[in-house]
This record gives sequence, C-alpha cells and structure tokens, in this order.
Amino acid sequence: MNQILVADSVGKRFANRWVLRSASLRAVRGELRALLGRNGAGKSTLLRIGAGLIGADTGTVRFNGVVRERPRLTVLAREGLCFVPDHDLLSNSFTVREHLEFVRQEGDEHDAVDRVAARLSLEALLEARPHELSSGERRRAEVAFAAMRRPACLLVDEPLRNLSPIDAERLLTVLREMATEGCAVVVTGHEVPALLAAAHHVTWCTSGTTYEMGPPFMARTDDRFVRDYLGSPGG
Amino acid sequence: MLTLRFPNRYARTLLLRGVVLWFLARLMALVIIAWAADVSGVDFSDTGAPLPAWSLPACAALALVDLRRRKELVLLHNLGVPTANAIAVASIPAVLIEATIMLVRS
Repeated sequence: MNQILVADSVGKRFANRWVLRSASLRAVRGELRALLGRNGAGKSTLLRIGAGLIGADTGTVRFNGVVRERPRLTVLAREGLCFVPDHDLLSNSFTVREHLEFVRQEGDEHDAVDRVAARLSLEALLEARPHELSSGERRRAEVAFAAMRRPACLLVDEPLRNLSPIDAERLLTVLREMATEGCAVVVTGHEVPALLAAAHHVTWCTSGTTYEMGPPFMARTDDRFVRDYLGSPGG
Repeated sequence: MLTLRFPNRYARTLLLRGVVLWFLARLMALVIIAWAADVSGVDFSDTGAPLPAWSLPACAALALVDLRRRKELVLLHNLGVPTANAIAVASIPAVLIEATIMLVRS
C-alpha cells in the first residue's frame, strides 16, 4: 500500500463555477510529487480536499487504505498527515522553537529541534515569532514544523513562494530527504525548474482535471504540457 | 508511530485567552444590559439562572472568532486538536469564574 493518500475523481464547485471536475491526487510513500498547473487550475483546492479542510462535491478520499466519507484534517493528522497551507500555518503567539516543540516526539533526541532548525538555516530565528520573520523565513519555519513532525504524508502548498534560490534549494532538499525516509510528499508551486529538478513524479492540473505526467523528464517531453503550461521548451 | 497531543503550552495560552474573553463577554453584556434597561426600563441583570445563560455560549463564540482571527485552526488541526476541544479549553476560565461569582454571591 504505497499510495497513502488517494483523492479520486474529485469534483468541487464554488458558487456556479466548477473548479475541479474529475481531478485526482495521489501521495506515494518515498516519492516527492509536484502538482503543477496554472493559476486558478485548482491545485490548492485539490490539496485542501486531500487534507480534509474542505469537502469535495464528487469523488472519494482514501487515506491509509480507508475511504473517508467526511475526511477531517484533525483525524487524518492523528494518522500521520500534515498539511502546510500557502500561508499562515504558524501562530504569532508562539516562537518558532515552541512550534517545533509542539510536535517533538517522546523518543526524539535532546537537540532534535536545533538539528531540524539547522537543516533549514533557522538557528538564529528559533526564538522569534512568525510575525517577526520575513515571508521566506516563515515558509522555512513552516516546513521545519512539518519536518519535526515526521508525518507519513505531507502536503505543502507553494513552499517555494518568496524564497531565494539558495533557500528554495535547501527546502527542496529537506522535502526530498523526507521522501527518501518514506514520507509521501506532494508540493504545488510555479517554480518549475526547481520543482522538476527535485520531484520524482509530476501531476499536471488543468481544466478541472489532472494528468499523471510521470517522471519530470517525461513531463518535459509532453507536447501539450510544454505548450499549455511551460510555454517554452524545458520550462 | 507518530503521537500527537494537545501541547501544554498551547493549552495554557488558550486558558489565558479565555480569561480575557470572559472579561470581554462580561463587558459586552454590561453594555447591552445597560442599553436594554435604558430603552425598556426593565432590569435584565439577574435572570435567576444558576450560571448566566449568556456567558458560556458568548465565551465559546468569542473563542471561535478569536481562533479564526488568529488563523490558528489549521495549526490546531495539524496537531490533531479539533476546534471544539480548543473552544472548550478556552471556555474553562468562564465556567470557573462564573461558578466562583455564584458561590460568593450565595
């Protein structure tokens, strides 16, 4: 059972507009998957449906092999899912260190928080509160929170937004390491070269549906993906 | 296996916020009661209920508004804490304070 999260044939309508008609989301253990698509294609909506934050109008969500009639993030989180939205995961009432301590496991070593912070260059920011950080620093702190939790499945909406190239590379390295350790990671974003370089698999979200493009090298050679999404050969 | 718990630090923060919310609820009630009494000439300040009937729902509603305002619901859910549990914790001070007031009055 490598597919830990499967949202199948998902449809979602907001008012009279169908954002998703028949889209699918798969999170596979040991894989970093990139969910790509143009603005408004429904990537974030699909991710939020998979995380149990909003309900789908049609389709099913399966987590850990069990179909969820009404998936809820609270329940899925206890079973190993972590969702990082595109903004404001962390509370301004707590420091970065306190957030990491919230999800520290009993068996973790004494310096586990410092080591996770070091992986994302957050050592100097551990005592800061999120509102004192730049947006890029906040993104890194949010991914540090997810890494500290060691989830079985991690969904991250636009993790590279507002990140400098070096920080984006570092963050993707951490996400890829998490995948290597067995976590099923799905990320969205528009930073195509960086995401294609890091991902094991590409899913393209367009016109309310999704296409499994396979490994990045296959996505790059797909005429329709190149023409309708990348806009230029090679992205 | 991953274990999630309601962090003590977070619970303490919610309790402290609960005290502030209770003050806020009381203040709002005082203003509304004073205004209603002024308009109608009826004294609404003592309904005879064991605990002021408005106090707990008002504090719970304010706690939900406060969590939404602070955008903490996704964080709580990621910690495996349902919204209702967080609201219940934030409402504990209101229960204790109202019960204390009731005891002192009796």
